Amino acid sequence: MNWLHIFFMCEIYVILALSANLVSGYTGLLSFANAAFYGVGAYVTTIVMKNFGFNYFSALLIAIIFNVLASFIITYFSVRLKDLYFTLATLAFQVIVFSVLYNWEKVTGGSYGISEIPGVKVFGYQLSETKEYVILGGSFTLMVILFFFFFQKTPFVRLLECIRDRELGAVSLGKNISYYKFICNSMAAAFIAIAGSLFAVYNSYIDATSFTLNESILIVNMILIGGTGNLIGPIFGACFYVMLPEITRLIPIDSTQGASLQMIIYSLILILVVRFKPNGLFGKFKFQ
Amino acid sequence: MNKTILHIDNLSKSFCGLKLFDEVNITLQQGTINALFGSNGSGKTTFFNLIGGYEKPDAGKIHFNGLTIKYHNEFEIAKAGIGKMWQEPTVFPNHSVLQNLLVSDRTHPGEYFLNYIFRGKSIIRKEAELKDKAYNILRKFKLGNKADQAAGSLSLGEKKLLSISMLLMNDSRLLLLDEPFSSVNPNTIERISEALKDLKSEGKTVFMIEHKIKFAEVISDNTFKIEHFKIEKLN
Repeated sequence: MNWLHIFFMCEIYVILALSANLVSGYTGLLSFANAAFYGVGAYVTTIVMKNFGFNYFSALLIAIIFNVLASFIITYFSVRLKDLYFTLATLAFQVIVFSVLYNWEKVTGGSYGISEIPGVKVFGYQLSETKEYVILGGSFTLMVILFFFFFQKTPFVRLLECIRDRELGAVSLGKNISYYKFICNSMAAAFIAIAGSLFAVYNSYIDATSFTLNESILIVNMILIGGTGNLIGPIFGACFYVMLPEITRLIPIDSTQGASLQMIIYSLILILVVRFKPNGLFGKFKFQ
Repeated sequence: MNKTILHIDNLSKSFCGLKLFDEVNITLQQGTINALFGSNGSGKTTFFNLIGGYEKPDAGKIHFNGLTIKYHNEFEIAKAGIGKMWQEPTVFPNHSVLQNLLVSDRTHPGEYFLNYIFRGKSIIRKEAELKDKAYNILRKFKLGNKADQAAGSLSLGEKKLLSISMLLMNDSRLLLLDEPFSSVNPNTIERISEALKDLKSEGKTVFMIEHKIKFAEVISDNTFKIEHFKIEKLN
């Protein structure tokens, strides 16, 4: 069992779950487009580094800008939609982005993906070992966690939560709901770009199958199980989902049955949490 | 003579071919309490929704302090100074009473994301100022001892008082109150009446829908009634 690899994947999913929590936990919008932004972040980083020779940090900045612009498009079309309609719009966006990544062979490599992605250089030092990527990923994850730690105490988040709880009440107080949804979606897309770029440079290979609707559902499951509207819920949910396959591997059955067993355990846990802890294990907010 | 704050000019509205209002004209003066009566289904709430911009009129215009309502979104109208208390008060149930008031202010720099980068100190300063203002309002409305309590746990009457105090915190100049006295006990009716008189003395204009005519008449300067698609002034 490669614990360093597991640790790195935990870092990536913590960033993804915290970003999803920003949209779903604080604003109450259930988005299924997280894997689409994750994919755009990974592909933009890869293409900019490989085809244009940019270093990792410049490529990351470009990926963030690209993701924020992509989020503007989806938010522009969906910002006035409520609840399920917003979710359906994000679902459509996810399907479109996946189709583009999978079929635009010239740019994305189509089903072959892109290999030999250059590694990260920090002050001239080339990262090559897993533990070095764990440190890089850990630094980003820590920054994201610290950002959310301070962010969740701000008047901005207080207002987001009020919009989530009573949108009409916020409108009657003169709050421009669209502005806040725009900001939240853009911020989430920017953080997801970080996760995407880390994933790309760590694996040195990406293809579209890493950014399917299933991946988006997985991210939503993380925040449903851990809970939304705070920090600990998404962090727990992300780590739990990354660790669970490793734990089930300890059960002495063959690998084919093991995969099925994992799915059964995932599903059972989800059913139990939704039934008995609708806020998630540590969450503050229940999806209606 | 007080300044005119709301002027409604030949307002008409129909729903699916069913006429609700036909060329309604009303003028409200600043610093007055006004009550609107009418039978169930006569269109009182729709009338308030038209003033607040939640519905658009078929014809006619509503002017509020130089602003023509039908050209603006509901949040822009609220920002211009028309606050609405809904029949079921829209307080934020998971937040404390104090936080409900803090979020009601519409000048808080902390609600604009870029201010965290450029005006961090002003956010902290404003938060402290707003807390003082909020506590003053809570004391005035006799909700001071409930400041840290979740708004969702208040009684209906207290939620109505909180809603009105949120509009005050929001610096609304025209307060549209949908049945402030309904389903509340006599003691709370007294508290709400006192609060409305206080608002009037501060130059705010109150326009309320009410079924409890005797309570509303006592404190109102003007009363109106919806009848036959028109709104008539009663006194």
